[in-house]
Amino acid sequence: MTTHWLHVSLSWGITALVFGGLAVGAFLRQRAAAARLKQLDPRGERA
Amino acid sequence: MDASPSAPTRPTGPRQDAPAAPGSRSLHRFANPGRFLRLTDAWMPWLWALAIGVTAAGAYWALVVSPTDWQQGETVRIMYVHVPMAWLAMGGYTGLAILSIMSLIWRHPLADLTARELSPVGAAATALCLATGSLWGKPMWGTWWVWDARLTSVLVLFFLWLGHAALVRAFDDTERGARAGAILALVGIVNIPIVKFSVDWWNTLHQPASVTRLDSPGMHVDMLYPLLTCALGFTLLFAVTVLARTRAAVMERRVRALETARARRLDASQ
Repeated sequence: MTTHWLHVSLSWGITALVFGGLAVGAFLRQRAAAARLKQLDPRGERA
Repeated sequence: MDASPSAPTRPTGPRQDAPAAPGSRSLHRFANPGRFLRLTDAWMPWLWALAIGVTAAGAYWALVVSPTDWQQGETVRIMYVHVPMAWLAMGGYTGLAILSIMSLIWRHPLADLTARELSPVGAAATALCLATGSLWGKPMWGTWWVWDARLTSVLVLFFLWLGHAALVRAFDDTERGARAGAILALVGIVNIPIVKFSVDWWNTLHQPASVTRLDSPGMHVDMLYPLLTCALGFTLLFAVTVLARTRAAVMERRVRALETARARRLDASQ
């Protein structure tokens, strides 16, 4: 791998890692909050 | 206003002592957290699919299909992430300032929550802009970093994002934190034109704008189209991530309100 490709791979790699981490984190946090809300207030489902 | 037991603890309308600002009625119609959750619930799977699909297409176009640059060689492929991150850092901060105005003037409840959830994502995009720029700079300029006006003003922007994220979380009273964060965001907006025009106002190592020029983009379409596709994909990913975080924050607030109400009922029954 050339230095140029190494830098390209690092750039795309950290971007995928950071954005992927933020997206997965947001998705899981939202799912956990929805599950807890459903548990506490089942009537909210009908709203 | 939602009258159910799961209603948020904070009023969703304007303060009773404040006169209604023009346009505030329609704003608050769409600011109701319950309505926001219902409206966005159906969109979320489609938005996730669209964001991931466009970003994947842009990545394939940028890394496999687009040509190498005659001067930069393969390193030009860093541009397809660096430039969208720079646009997101500046555009996102402008969005933060607009949310801050909505928060300060109309006491918009969702504006506070969205601003709070936006700043860590904006800080991440700005950090990625700096990191990918550095990774491009080493083979092209022969240095990881130089204290020129563009790089320094983007570093200041990163600190503003971090400052906002920290400040809104530094108060026990979330409303006071939101007010302080909104003021910081509005003070920091002065940095956005400095970032944008730093390459024109000062003699910088960073090259001037090539895509957002008023006359015509100084870039061949073989590179411009994948760049715009990547920018659209990352913007969608950024937006849907902030949306998902805001939805989670609204639900978490309801959970806290319900848990508090349940604890009070238990206390009263003992």
